Amino acid sequence: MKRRQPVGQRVERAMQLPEGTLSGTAFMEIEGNSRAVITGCRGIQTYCEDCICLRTCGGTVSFYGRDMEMGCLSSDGATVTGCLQRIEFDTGGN
Amino acid sequence: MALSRLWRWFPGWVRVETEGGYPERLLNAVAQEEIAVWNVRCRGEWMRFSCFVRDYRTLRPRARRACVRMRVRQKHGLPFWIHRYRHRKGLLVGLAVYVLILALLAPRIWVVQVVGNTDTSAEEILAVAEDMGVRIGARMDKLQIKQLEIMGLNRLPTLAWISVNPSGSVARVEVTERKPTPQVLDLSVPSDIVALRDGRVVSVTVVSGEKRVKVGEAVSAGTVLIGGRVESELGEQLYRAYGEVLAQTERRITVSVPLTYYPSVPDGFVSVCPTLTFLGWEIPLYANVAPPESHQLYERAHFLQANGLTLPLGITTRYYLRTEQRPMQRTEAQAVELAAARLAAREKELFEADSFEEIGRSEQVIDGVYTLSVQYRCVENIAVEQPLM
Repeated sequence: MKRRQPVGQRVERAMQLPEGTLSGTAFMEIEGNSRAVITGCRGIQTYCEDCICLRTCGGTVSFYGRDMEMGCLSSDGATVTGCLQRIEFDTGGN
Repeated sequence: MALSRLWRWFPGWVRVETEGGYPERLLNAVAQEEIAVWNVRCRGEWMRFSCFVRDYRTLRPRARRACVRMRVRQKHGLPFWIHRYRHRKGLLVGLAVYVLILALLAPRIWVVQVVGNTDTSAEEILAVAEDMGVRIGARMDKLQIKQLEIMGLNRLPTLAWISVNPSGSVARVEVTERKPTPQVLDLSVPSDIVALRDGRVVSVTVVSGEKRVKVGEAVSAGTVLIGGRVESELGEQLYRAYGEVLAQTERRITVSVPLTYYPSVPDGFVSVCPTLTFLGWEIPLYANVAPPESHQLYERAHFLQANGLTLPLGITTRYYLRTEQRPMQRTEAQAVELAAARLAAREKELFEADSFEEIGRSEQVIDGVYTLSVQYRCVENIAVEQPLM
């Protein structure tokens, strides 16, 4: 049985609005392999020297690399800096 | 980046190190509470981040809940800078005085300059400008420039334009002088030209009126030389007589020099009165001492200079030299020399150059006074205007 999409996403599609306008989609902006800005972040799951896992509304985003740092942190966003090597998305089976 | 550093510097920030526990929980709590943290770095067991000083205390209970030990590694910003110098109150006082002086003096006039004047003296312009409020120590923003432009021209008719250009602490009074209008002879008032003194006419130049004397004729003082009342076919016509009548005259100059004189001589007593001048205010640096009744005054001013401008800060010292009149004797030779000098000055005052010659001289000493009397023959304009009644 096909899972129904959230109302926000359905309205967005129906009205042809940009994705994330009404639904809580996370946005990610990556500058080369040194910096990533994540908007719509809901917290930190893991934070160690070579891995930062962030919780978003759509699942977990993991950044792997060297010298990982968080430039700034707020209630709905974070900046990850360092030498990024890999980014993983875990949507929890959706 | 520099702007954000400056923004953080003013409230002050700290570099915090945490150890053990669950730093992620602490960061999540921080994010939820909208507490600003930056430069978060995790290495093994420890984690470092930066936050504002005011937020550090609110972080402590959250750190305890996350089982994290927290301590401050570095302190930056204005609150720590002030704390470091808290015992040096002089610095604070100096800073306060500096700010106060800057706030008090920066908007005031330090120097008033006059630009563009040639015939009208700068002192005269400055006096008018001072009455209009352009004076040392006045506030630059309170200047009534329009009023000065109108009133200044009324009071200084030789000027065609006057204005004040504020430039920093210098008020530049810029003027343009009026070109003098040529004087037109008013011929409506009838008059005669008469002789000022006795003489023999050498030449007559008539511009207006009727010639009444001939060259070579002897005239006495009051004789009409050029008449304004002219008889014609139409009857009597009245003119304003105008012209030049050169005549050979005889003049005498007498100079007397007493051999005993009473000059005012300093007796050695000096009153020194220094005054500190600052922005037009004069602060006496001496007790209230009245100057001697008979004195000579010498003044010496020392003012600070910067870029060719005299600043309104300096010391003016007045020296009052008490004097007394003492009888002194001069020799006859000295009296002759002094009389000759006075005679030369008088000749320069009365006669034009090369228009006179000496025809007789007498000198004598009577009752201790040397008297020099010289007779001259000179050629001069003896014409003087006399209105017709």
